[in-house]
Amino acid sequence: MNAESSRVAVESPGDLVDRRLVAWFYLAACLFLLVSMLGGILMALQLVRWNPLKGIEFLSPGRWRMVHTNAVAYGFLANAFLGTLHWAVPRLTMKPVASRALSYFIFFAWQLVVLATAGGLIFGPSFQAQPWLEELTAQTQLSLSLGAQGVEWGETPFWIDPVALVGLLLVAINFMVPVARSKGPMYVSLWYFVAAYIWTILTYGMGNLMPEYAVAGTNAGAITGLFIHDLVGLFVTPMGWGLMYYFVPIILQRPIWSHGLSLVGFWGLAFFYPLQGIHHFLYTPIPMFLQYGAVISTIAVELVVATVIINFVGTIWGDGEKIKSNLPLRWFYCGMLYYFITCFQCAFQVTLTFQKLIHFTDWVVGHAHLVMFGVFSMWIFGAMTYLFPRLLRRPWYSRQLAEWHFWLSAVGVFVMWLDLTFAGVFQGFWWSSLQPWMDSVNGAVPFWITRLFAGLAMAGGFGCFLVNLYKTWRMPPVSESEETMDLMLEPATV
Amino acid sequence: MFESKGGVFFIGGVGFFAFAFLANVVVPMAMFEREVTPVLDREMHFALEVDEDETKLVKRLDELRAAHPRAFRTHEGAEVAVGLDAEHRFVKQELDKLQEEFPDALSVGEGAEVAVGLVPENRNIQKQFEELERRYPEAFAEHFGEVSDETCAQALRLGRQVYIGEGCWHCHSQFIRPVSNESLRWGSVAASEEYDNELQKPVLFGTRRVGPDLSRQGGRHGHDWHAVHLFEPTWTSPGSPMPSYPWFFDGSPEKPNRRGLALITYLQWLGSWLDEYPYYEEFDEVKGGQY
Repeated sequence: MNAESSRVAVESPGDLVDRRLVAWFYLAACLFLLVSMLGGILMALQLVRWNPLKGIEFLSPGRWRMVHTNAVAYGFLANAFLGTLHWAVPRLTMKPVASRALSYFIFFAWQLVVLATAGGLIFGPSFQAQPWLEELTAQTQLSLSLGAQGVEWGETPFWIDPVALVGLLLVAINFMVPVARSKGPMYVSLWYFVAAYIWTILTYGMGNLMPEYAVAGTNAGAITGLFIHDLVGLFVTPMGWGLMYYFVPIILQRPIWSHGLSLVGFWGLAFFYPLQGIHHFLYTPIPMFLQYGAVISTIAVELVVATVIINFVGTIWGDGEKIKSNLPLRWFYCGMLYYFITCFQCAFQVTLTFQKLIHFTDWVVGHAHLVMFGVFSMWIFGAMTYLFPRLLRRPWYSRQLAEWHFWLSAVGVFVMWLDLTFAGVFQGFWWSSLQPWMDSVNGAVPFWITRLFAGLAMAGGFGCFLVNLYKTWRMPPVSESEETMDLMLEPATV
Repeated sequence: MFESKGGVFFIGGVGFFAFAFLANVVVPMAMFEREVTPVLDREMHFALEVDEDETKLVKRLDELRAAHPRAFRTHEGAEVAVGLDAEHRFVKQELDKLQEEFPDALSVGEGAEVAVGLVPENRNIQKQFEELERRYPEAFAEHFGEVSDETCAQALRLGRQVYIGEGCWHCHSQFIRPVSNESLRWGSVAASEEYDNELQKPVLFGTRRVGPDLSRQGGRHGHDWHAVHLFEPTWTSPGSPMPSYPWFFDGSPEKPNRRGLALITYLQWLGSWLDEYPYYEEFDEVKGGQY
């Protein structure tokens, strides 16, 4: 924030933020994460053949697996990011969002989108055999499914896609207005947010419309790969890093180490990330030079990631002790460590040599969990740990529960990643050595059992968080001033 | 530019996305511009008879074929001009003009409606569908009536929707890679043209294999096996972690409902376009196992 814009500011930044709305977004995010975790546990139980809810149509693990992934992307991450944006963007621009009424409308519309998606995924397939629907499918020669559509993360039923797109457009308008109104150069976080608003719309539109309606076959595969990759790279990643650039300097009370490196990080991501989609479909009939291009740009982005990590290590250099006492900071830096691990892993697994062995195996599943939970969910937990006391105007009920949340999550996801990575290597060798298929399934069961318990640990950690949140909410508010909210961050005070 | 609102929004946001879209979407689309084969459709065919000695006419026709490759097709051994949509109507007009110009060398026949698509052009799936009617006569009569191109197309389309809606594609892939001995286990390596049809819109490559690849599954097992396997997977494959799908049946694997019959038809269709259909492993150890 340069000198001019802080002179212009007449309101205190706190007044620009609608705390109630941030809290609502966070609560919705927590609710959907809970649903998603239940779906994940159900699928994990099915894999180890202990599913106690067998043969119940609306609890089919196949459908709940899609609820699991969609609830994380659209229910948990999107809601949590929207909540945090409502906190951060007005403070970064010193302007309120375009319209508070619009913010509330977006809140309700987005919950409707998420609930309708879940409803469609769970109930849609049961009603697919409708004469009118089959006739429409035959006339249009399109995959008009009441339930899922056949694109990962684009399963959103076809009748919700337009609503979700309008919602994303409204989000972009609501947050672009304060950015446009603000004066002076933008802070790093805002680069990521501004790019992410437009990327998310383009990515969502591309993945939810083109393979379903416009393009078939191999070309649809190229688009699908681009979509599943961009949803992580152009929606979740920029939102996540934007928040890191915002929260870390505030908590440490010192500026980002190198402005030049943050420029490299942003523009490197913007250029290389979108070019990588096809690496999800190596050895398909997609032209080989495009597959090579995707591999090379993926390796290139790992170098960019290294600059970002160096920048954040430089920022905390000399103050590293703080991650012991300051929980949000610990969440953030642990997430960054995992981010570095996933990206390092990615530079290897993306090569054709590794893909030969590990494509289609649990290796990829482990990688996905380390990215989505170990990095972005952990960052969000850190932001929630930092913000909930400020939203509810009372310090956390229990430091111990917060610690349990951290350790169960951090250890749980790491064990799951390690376990599934090994499982993937075994599966790859069993398959390529032409063992009977069931050998690869039976051999994977010990890994899947380990994964089940790692998942239960992650869910248990989140349970601690929910209990802590409920108990905090039941306590009387202590203060109107923000400084006291940091009470729990120092161990001596609890 | 690197820190300005316009630079971030238009160059980073819109521009780089557009560049990637060009590289990863437009380029493959331009390379693989192919017709998407419908499951079942109707076309007007006009039979062509050309006197090859009329070089001027042959040259004009070659130009027309080059400009409108989709408007010409071989049907029952003879070349036909295809017409229904605007482009093809234009081709028909051009042909009529040529016919006036060269009345002795070219004749364009009367139009005849022809069924085209995955069902009428694939004898294997027709046979499988007839077999399904013989195996489950009562259920088939109740849910699909009688065997025809139309009901077979309905079954394929609904079967694909069930396959997607139930999440089958999250644990079963549909492409064979040229590595890891996959072609020994499952059959010929996936080719691009196999996927240019309505049932691969969106494409069902898949990204995970808990169960085996299914793109050459058709014909390997009977309808019975599929019915029992879907009703309770462990009855045919002990230890299978696949969920059971009793809701595709009216109480027992003997009585599949419309969704069950449709899904079995879809599964039997997979790979049915290949000469090697049905594919069995050449590798003895694999053949000796459960798969």
